[in-house]
Amino acid sequence: MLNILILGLGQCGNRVLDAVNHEAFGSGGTFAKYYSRQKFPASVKTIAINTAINDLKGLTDTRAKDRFHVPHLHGVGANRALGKKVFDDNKEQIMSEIDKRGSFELIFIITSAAGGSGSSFAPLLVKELKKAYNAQIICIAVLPFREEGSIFLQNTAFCIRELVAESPNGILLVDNQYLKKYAGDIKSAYDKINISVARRVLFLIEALNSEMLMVTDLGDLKTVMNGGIGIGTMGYYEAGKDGTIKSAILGSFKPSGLLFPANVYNEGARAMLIIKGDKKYLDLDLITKTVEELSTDVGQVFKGVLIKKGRPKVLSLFTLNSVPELENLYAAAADAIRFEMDKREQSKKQLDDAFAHIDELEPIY
Amino acid sequence: MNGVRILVIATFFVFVLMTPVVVASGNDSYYIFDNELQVNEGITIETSIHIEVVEVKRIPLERAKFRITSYQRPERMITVFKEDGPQANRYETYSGASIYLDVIGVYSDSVQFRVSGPSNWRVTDYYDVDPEEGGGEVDEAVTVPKLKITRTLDISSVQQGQTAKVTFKIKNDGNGTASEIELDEPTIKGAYREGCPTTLDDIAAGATERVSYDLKIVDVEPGTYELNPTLLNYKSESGTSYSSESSSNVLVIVAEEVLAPELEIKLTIESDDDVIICGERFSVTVRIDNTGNATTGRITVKSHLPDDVRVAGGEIDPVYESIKPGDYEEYEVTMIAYEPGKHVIKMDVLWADEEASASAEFWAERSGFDKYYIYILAAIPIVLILLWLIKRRREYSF
Amino acid sequence: MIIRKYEDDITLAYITDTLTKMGFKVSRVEDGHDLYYSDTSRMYTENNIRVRARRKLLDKMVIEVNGEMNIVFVYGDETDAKAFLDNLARM
Repeated sequence: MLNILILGLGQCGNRVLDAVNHEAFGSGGTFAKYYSRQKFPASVKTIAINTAINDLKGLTDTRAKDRFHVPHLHGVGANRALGKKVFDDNKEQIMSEIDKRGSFELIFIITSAAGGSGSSFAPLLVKELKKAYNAQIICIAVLPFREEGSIFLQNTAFCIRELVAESPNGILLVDNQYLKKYAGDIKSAYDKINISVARRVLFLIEALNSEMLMVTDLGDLKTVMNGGIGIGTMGYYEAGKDGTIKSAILGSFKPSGLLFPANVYNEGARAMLIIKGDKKYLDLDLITKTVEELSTDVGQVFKGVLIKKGRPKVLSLFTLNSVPELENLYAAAADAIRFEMDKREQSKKQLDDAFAHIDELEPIY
Repeated sequence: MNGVRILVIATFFVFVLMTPVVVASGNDSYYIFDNELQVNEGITIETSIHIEVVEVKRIPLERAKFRITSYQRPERMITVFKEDGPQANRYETYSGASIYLDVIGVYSDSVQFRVSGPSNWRVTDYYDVDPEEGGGEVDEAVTVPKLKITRTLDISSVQQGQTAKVTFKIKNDGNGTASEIELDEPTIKGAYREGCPTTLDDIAAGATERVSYDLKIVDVEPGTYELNPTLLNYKSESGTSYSSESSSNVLVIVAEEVLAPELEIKLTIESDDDVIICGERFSVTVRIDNTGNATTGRITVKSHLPDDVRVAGGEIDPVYESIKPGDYEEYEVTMIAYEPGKHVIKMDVLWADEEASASAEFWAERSGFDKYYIYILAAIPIVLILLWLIKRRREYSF
Repeated sequence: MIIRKYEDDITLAYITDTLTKMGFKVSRVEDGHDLYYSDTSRMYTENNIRVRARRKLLDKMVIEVNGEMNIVFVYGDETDAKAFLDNLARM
């Protein structure tokens, strides 16, 4: 059985982690935690790490002992520099908290790239974990709504850069801006995004840990994540009543199922397809044929087939050769930084001008 | 036909004419004496019949004892009970005429009585009796036997079937030997004399003779009976006949006492307000009394318990070899009633072919705990679930 | 029965690993005894390995390996057989 650790950093990471914990209860709903146990498909440990205690208190499905508060008043206020310092100050405690939970073969770090605690902790934590564990580390980085503010944009830009620099086994992007269109208001958008991410993560864990008809394993995941620039995303599709397995596989590559806007056929480097469903839907010849077709465009496609009751569900996980949307984001971030710099200079100049009025004057009493 | 009619009418008239005479005679409407006399006072009727008051007694029954002497008759003592009526106490004179004594009232030392008899008889004398001379006879002959007979009964009250021993003490107070002594002992109907002599050997002067017999009461209705005086007829050596009689005795005959054991059984349930709590022990005391007058044989007790009443301790159906009259056996049994409601415990005690039974009832109620038992039972899982929920909630609250 | 020829040598370890990953339990491994005639080489060769595996009571699979020709014969459910052969190719 695979030993998996899921870390949720910062407010966003905590919430996604909480959604993972919630989904692990199955179909029990809000009250499942009072009578049921989480049914993780592998040996999964979770820790929510945050500097803001209120964010930790807001969690509902994560056990209290799985919430770790890094003491720094109420968060770092989206200040990554401060976040990094806080992490360094509390590195020992954080690592010992993780160490208490044993050893792992796979570690997920879920964080927002835009916030304070998560975005500043994530790259440093990757570094520490790589030192301490011989485990695959997958970062799930959530990109902010573009209108959230220039600080978030610049945080995202620097965070992703630093993450890539620390070279975890893979970075899976989740774009709030992109997913917003599928939900109404911000609150329900957040909830829906969190649940989407949680379900995909659990699906992936199930696929990696189960006895499968067609086998994919941790090695395959590593190979997929090593593809392209090491940045990828996940897609998902659940077949309709009359859908074939082929339409389900192709559906998981469509933009509507992806967590980040990408043209998989053009930009895809490597992919992993995990197909789950009743045996009667699983025509292996058709699956093999479809995957072969995809391979010509996407490159190496690993396939795993999991026999479970129900209609076919397909999870696609792939790495990209290029990420145009990220480029857009960086450009916007750069603009934002420059705009911010200009504004600050202007403000400073204005203030200096104001102060100039009293130059060489002394107060008289 | 006419002859017959005339005879019938004539008979009828004779009858009608005679009736008042009979009635007058029967009612003793003519009283020779109707007055009060002190003890040791006497009257003389027609100069020959002497009636003296010997004693009066008020307890247990108002009665007066009279001594009657008359010409050619032995002295006789008559005890007359108040309200006996005149017919009960007849005295027949030598001439064949009878007088009747009837006591009207008895006082501390006097008696009011009536003497009825022939209408032409009168009281001819009132006199005081000299106690020393009372009943005394004037000894004229040199050798005259004078027998004094005293009759005693060993018991004054005798049961049906029992025997009373009657003893005569005959003393010759005279100076001559009494011979040809004949003893005439009256009896009570339904009683039989066993070994009662009719003749006695000669009794020398001054000698005392004791004779006794058994009076067996066989078939006598219970009641108070007077045993009439015993008459002794005897002759002196000279051949002169004498007689004397004993005083009469009162004999009370009571119904035959049947000797049989009689058992009574009594149940006592020990509880507060006669309410038993279901499932709790309570004790029942069973007491068997022998109220009869004989010792019982083997006694068995048989219990009849309601279905939901069980014996928790003690022997409920013991066997006793015997219980003496007036004695009792008592034992305690611990029981438990399981269902609420009215319960009746019945116990039979069996001896010989007899049986007696007793029952006790009580009301059983569920205890407070029992009433809420079901709720407590229902509450346990709820509490456990609540505790579980609280534990879970705490697990998830930071 | 499905046959597939492989380029690499097929070892018993590959077969048992693949079966385990698919949820099968190897119940018996024995020497093969069927002969296989190859048109190209015009010769008979013996299938040298036979593996019996079971997942559920009636979910059985028998794999015969001709080591000389690198041919694998799979008897059992067709879907499982295909999946097994595909999985084996990845080893």
